[in-house]
Amino acid sequence: VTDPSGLSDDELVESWAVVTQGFQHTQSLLGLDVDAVLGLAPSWFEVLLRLLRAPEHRMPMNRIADDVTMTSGGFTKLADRMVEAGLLRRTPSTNDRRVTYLELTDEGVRVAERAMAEHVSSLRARVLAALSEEGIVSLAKTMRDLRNANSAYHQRLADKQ
Amino acid sequence: MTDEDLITSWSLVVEGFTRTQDRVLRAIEETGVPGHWFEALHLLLRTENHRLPMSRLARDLSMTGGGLTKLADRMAREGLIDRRSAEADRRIVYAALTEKGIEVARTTARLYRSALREHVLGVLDQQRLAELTRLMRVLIEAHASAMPPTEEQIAIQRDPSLPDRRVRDRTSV
Repeated sequence: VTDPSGLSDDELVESWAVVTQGFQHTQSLLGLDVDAVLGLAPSWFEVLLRLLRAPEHRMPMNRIADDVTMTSGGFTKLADRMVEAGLLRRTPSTNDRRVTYLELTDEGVRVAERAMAEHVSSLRARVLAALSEEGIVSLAKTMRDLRNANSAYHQRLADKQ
Repeated sequence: MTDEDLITSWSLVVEGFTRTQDRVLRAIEETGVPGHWFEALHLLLRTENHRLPMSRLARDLSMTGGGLTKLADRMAREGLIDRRSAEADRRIVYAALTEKGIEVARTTARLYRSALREHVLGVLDQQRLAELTRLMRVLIEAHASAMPPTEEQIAIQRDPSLPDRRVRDRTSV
């Protein structure tokens, strides 16, 4: 089957298979780099990275769960384990008691910073070296458009503006 | 490129891919077939004779051997795949689609195609998709030789002054 865009079903499937493989393979190598040095599972690293970049190192729980695309039940378990490990603490919001925030502890900041430094050097070695700056800029722009079109959260943001 | 720009760029790649893949697989999940089952079914559907060695399937799905074994157990219980050893080499175990597996794979593959048209091609035009594919191919080729290290190698490289906080999420798929 061909549509006016001229791309057949098979070509479309093949293209997305390449995107999937390229993404998953690279992401798993990047995760292994951080895991190998710090013993930090990729899902933990993802949470630490987001909080490290958030103002005051804190974010509402449901917002992080949404960002890391986990179910709220799955994310609660992950957050529990990270709290037990001393990396995060839960704090209530000052204006809305129903909202719970997750915040990095001092130990959490320290581990997150080390993980971030490792992540940057593996991004340079594995992604920047392969694609060059121009390639990464193009990749990020395309992926931003896909994210904005396919994420309910980002669509709500766009609707508000 | 600054550290910050590099991190932001890759975060966008992660979010863009994850959101889009979730959205596309949701169309399939609505029929009762979990997304990661579909990925395995679809891979087998596109392979000659609809069968692949288990080790190859694990690699192509970016899963651990243990994770794939569990997934294959469940899919075999539903009658979607068969597992059998190769006649030439009994150590190699193949996963093959059953008749029912082929049927489910074909039905869900049709949904997958229309979801890709809507959520990928509907957002990017053909030219931008081609450029995205080209860049991803460069990444695949750059990393072709970098096979994931074994558990033993990870254990040796780990900084012993830090506690082991690893949680093997993927093995519980």
